[in-house]
Amino acid sequence: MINLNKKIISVISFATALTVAVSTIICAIAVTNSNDVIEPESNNNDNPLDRDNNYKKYNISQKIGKNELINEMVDSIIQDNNYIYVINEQKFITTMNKVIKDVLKNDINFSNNYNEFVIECSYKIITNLNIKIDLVWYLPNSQKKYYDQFDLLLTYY
Amino acid sequence: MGYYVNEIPNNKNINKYFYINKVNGILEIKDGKWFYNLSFFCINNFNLPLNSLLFDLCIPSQTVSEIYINLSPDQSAITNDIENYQYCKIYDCNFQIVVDGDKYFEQPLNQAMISHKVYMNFDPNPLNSYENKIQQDILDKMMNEVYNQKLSFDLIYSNIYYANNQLDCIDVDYKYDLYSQSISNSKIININYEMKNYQNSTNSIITLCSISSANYFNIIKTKVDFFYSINKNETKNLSYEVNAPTLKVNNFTLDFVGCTSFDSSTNIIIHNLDGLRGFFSPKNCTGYYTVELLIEINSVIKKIFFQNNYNFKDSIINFLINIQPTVINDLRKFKKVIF
Repeated sequence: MINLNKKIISVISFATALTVAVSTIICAIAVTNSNDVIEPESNNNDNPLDRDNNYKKYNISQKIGKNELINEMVDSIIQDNNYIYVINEQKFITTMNKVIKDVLKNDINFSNNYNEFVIECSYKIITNLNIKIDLVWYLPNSQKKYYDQFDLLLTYY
Repeated sequence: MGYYVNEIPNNKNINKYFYINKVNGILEIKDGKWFYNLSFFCINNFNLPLNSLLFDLCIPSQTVSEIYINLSPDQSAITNDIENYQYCKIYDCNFQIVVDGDKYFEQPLNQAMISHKVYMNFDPNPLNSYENKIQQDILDKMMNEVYNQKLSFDLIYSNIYYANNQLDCIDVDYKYDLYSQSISNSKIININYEMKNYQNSTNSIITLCSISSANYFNIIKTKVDFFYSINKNETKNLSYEVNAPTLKVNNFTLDFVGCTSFDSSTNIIIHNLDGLRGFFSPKNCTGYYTVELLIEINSVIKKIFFQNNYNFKDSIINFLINIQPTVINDLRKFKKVIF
């Protein structure tokens, strides 16, 4: 009886896992192929410090900062009778998409298959001048994942 | 402004059957239309019946044909010059033609020379009932002389004024007196103007230009173009028009309407008609602006074209995106996008 229950639970677990996996793949394909605006999703429970040995820290942020396209995420608006610059969230998403792919394309470690990487960009808007970013990128069929964490700061001069 | 008349030399030894002489005229511009009032003497050796002479007026835009010449009520203008003609008759040819100048001259004319030609013509029909029949060979010769008669005069005219100095005065011609063998006069109205030149940032409303006159004037239309180049890249254009007229004023000040914002992703300055007034651009922006004012003053329509350079220096702060490494240990309040 116990064995039977274990088997049933195993089957149900496997079916559930399969369903989740298929759904994830379908979603991933849908997101990847979509030309529409990318909508952010909430990130409920993920502690980056718990990442296992498959994750490798890779300093990509400095190259992102030097990429010329990065300025496209900035808007100028009028506030209190003054023009100020702010980071526009929707522009941030579309710009990061372009910038990261451009950086991977020009990085010798990723340039061969830069277009195949899945890029997970977790971000938190602290102010309209400051965004915290956790970036993970990996090939779908590879265990190995890369990540980097950085602050993006808009400053005046 | 000047004009000249191709007159037949008044050589008494040549027994011409027909010639024209002593041209006087007025050209008046009202509401963009040109009103001609020409008078000249037609001298012929026959007592030609009324309405036997016609003429065509050709100016670059259009031909006005079959305008009959009227007999002058005042024949006292006979001079000694024509006394030797056996059958002398003086015609005072007075007519008025309306030419829609602005309709034809859509392109701006800056001190353009406009040639006018008046071709004489002949209507033989009234002669059929003319009691003093003219011999056919003489009639043919006279008709030939009539056809070969033409007046021509050139007007120097401009419907646009290019304001180049910061402060100056514009002369608007509204009436031309046409005299034979002399420089004609034109009557003018003065418009004073002033252009501002901005080099530094300002928190005040940006005044592009101002005009004033002793006469009332109407601003029919305004067009403003800002040509700008950021970081010496390709020159782009920001343009807007104001079609609502400003009527019956002595002074007019044109301010920049609305405000601009800079889209750093496209390097384009965007014009917003709402909100604050001001022209905002990055400090590394140079260029010039042009203003076209279509004004009506004393029924004369004239376009005034202002052009002024601007160069913003040290006026607007720039921005930089810095990347700094950090440690994140909790992603629960983070949003996530997958590319």
